[in-house]
Amino acid sequence: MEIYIRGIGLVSPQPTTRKDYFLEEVKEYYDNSLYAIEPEMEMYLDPAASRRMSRILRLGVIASKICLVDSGVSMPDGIITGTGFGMVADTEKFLLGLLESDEKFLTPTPFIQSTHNTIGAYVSQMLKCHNYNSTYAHRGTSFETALIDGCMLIEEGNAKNVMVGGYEENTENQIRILDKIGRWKKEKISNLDLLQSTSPGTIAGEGIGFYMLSRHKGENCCVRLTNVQILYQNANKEDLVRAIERFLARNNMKKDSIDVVLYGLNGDSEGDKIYHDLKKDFFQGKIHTGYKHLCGESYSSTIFALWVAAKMLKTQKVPSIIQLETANPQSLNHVLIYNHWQDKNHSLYLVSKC
Amino acid sequence: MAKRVLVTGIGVVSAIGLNVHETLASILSGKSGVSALTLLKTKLKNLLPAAEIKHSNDELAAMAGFQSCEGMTRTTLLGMIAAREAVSHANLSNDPSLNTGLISATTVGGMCKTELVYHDFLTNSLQNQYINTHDCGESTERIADYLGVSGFVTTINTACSSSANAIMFGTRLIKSGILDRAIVGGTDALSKFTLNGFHTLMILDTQLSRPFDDQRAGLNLGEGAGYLVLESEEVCTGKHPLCEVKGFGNASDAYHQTASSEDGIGAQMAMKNAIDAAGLTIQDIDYVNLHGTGTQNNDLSEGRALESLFGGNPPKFSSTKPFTGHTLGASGGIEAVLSILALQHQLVFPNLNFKTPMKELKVVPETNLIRNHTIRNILSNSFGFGGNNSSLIFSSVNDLS
Amino acid sequence: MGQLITKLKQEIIEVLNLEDVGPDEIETGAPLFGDGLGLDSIDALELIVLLEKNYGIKIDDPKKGKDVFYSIQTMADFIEKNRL
Repeated sequence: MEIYIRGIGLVSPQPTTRKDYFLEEVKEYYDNSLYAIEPEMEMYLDPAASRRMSRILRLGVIASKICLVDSGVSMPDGIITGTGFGMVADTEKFLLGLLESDEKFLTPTPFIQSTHNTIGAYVSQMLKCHNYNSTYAHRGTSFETALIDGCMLIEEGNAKNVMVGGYEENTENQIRILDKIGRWKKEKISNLDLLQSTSPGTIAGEGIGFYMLSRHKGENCCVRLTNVQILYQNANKEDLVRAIERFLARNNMKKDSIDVVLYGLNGDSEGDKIYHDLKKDFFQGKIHTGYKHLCGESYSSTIFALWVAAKMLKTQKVPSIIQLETANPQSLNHVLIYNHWQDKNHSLYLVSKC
Repeated sequence: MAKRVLVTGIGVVSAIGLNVHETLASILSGKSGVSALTLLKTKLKNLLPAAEIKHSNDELAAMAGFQSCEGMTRTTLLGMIAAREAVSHANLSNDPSLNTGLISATTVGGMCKTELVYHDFLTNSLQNQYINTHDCGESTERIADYLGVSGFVTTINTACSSSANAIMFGTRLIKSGILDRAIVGGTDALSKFTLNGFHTLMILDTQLSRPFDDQRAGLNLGEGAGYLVLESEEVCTGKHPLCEVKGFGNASDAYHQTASSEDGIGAQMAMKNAIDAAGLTIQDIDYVNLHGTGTQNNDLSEGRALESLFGGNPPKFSSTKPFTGHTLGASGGIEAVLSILALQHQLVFPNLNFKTPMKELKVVPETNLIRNHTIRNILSNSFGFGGNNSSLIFSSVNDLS
Repeated sequence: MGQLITKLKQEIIEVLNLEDVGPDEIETGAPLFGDGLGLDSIDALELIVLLEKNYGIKIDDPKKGKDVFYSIQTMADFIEKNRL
């Protein structure tokens, strides 16, 4: 069964909410933390209704509204989200309140909004959508699992359109804490130099994206989501190559048919080795691209990767800002995305032209 | 015909028992696990009873086979113990030709530890080993490594319906052919965060909770873990499955972040979806294990949903939360185990602490332990914050209707 | 009483994030919930905390809140009667 992506709403550290934007100009960041560019809230949110909402919840509602309009679907048959860290700001707020006041005078709002399924639940309330709703919270494959569930729901015959989202949010405390375990680069770099970096660590990113998966193309449809797979394994290069070969075989796809590979390179010298190996050997001859210099690293950075892949196939262009080596793309039919989180959570996507 | 998904193993740990055997014994003797908090360090300990497992983290670690609990959260340890029991019960072979996955659920994750060391995270580097244990995926990956599972490993967090959704997802993955076998369920430890959180919502009872009672005043929190091993019928040759996962349904109440709609539309849809998916009718359901938290709101909503769906004559129903407490993300998994025990042994479990029927309802829960009750199909409800409503149906495998 | 009422209006705006509402726009006798300011059950819980934190008055039963929080006036009356 063909599953299409018929609408996208992505709020990210690049101006991805702008119509027809595809990296013509990009925002540069200098202090190793990338924050989502916030659309005009008043355009999308009623101030009274949104007064209690955290920043990420507001951005989530906005992204979902953009996706719904883009897809021409007003009532999805399912709403599924994925997030590794969840609602960080509200969790922090309640936790700090708890610790600082020694369990006194705590207010309920941040607690209520701290659960991982808050955004998915809020969107369902906003739409009065009684249909299927779930949230995945597994680190670097949270968004992918949500996509797998969405595709399965359509293939089971229980849904025509399923809205699938992924999100992560940055807070100052979160960034500071993760710095202690060496997550980020010690030296400040421009995000645009990330993929050439050879030092340990990466840079922080955040964002929220919704994708309308559908049995039908819709007006703005650009791509097919041919398959998504997750793999939990301490994989070396040989394991990974075997996994990729099986993935391709399962989709009746030959390696030759892949035009572009989009790697989850994040500038970390250790973690990037596997990508460089694949680029040099298994995927030799392909158009090699990267995306995390534009969105930063987070558990759900692939919400940006999927947008890049979809745009490449729709526009038939590979912007130079994402090319790892100069390439001259001919016709683009299939993009393979490969990402891993700390060599343990691996994800593979096959995204194809409509 | 669609592939059947069978349950071949169950495992559980809660305040009423460290394994399936102890758990059943407690229920048969009417022994509740709710009491005064003694281990959780909280200012609320003298105010709010809870179903706390009276073993320290080091003791839990020893049960799981570790020298100490160092570097592991309580959520992880509880999950390991219950998941290992399920896998052992299922006699799950290490067969690399079969695709085996782990779908685990949690709402607390590592917060039970984070809340103790968060100050250190911000001010020094003495507790850095726990920075990576905070998120929900940690307990899942530790359990996966402990059981030797790789490949399809993931975590669900939809508040109180989390592990019911994990069971549902695992079932669907097997039916779709992505997996042959799945270890599914959830785990949650008590924490100051959740205790205080529910306290701010004013839905915790300072006494023992009284689900479906007119005078009910809230829920008692609990902790624990419950897991099932699911296998596709094709790979089950030679095994004696406990039951089949016959149906499942999820629906969104779409009403409010924490409150359920008064007419219980979400609950009703979840139950109906499960019954329809199972190819059954309402007459085929012999027993309902309620979500039944004891809050004013849930019980009214769920009660109305029962009446709307089953009319004036519902099957026997009861909440087992007075035994185990409300174990949040683990409740779907723990109550799935209890439902399967009820099915296996043809028992209806009593709804403890019930005295006065709700004014708004005509139906009342079962307050006695009933033996030798014909149960072929049992419905288990788990309803979460955000209006995430899930229902599961477990059926005896001898029943081929 | 007048000072308390003004203070209450400011506190409610702050605690409930009523960013676009000024104290002058809140009528002292008008209902706060439902049609009035449009507050909901979560706001009621927030007001219970406000009462305890700022005035030392504890409400244990959320149902009691319905009468207390009917309007700014009823809140002020309750505080005057019960504050420590």
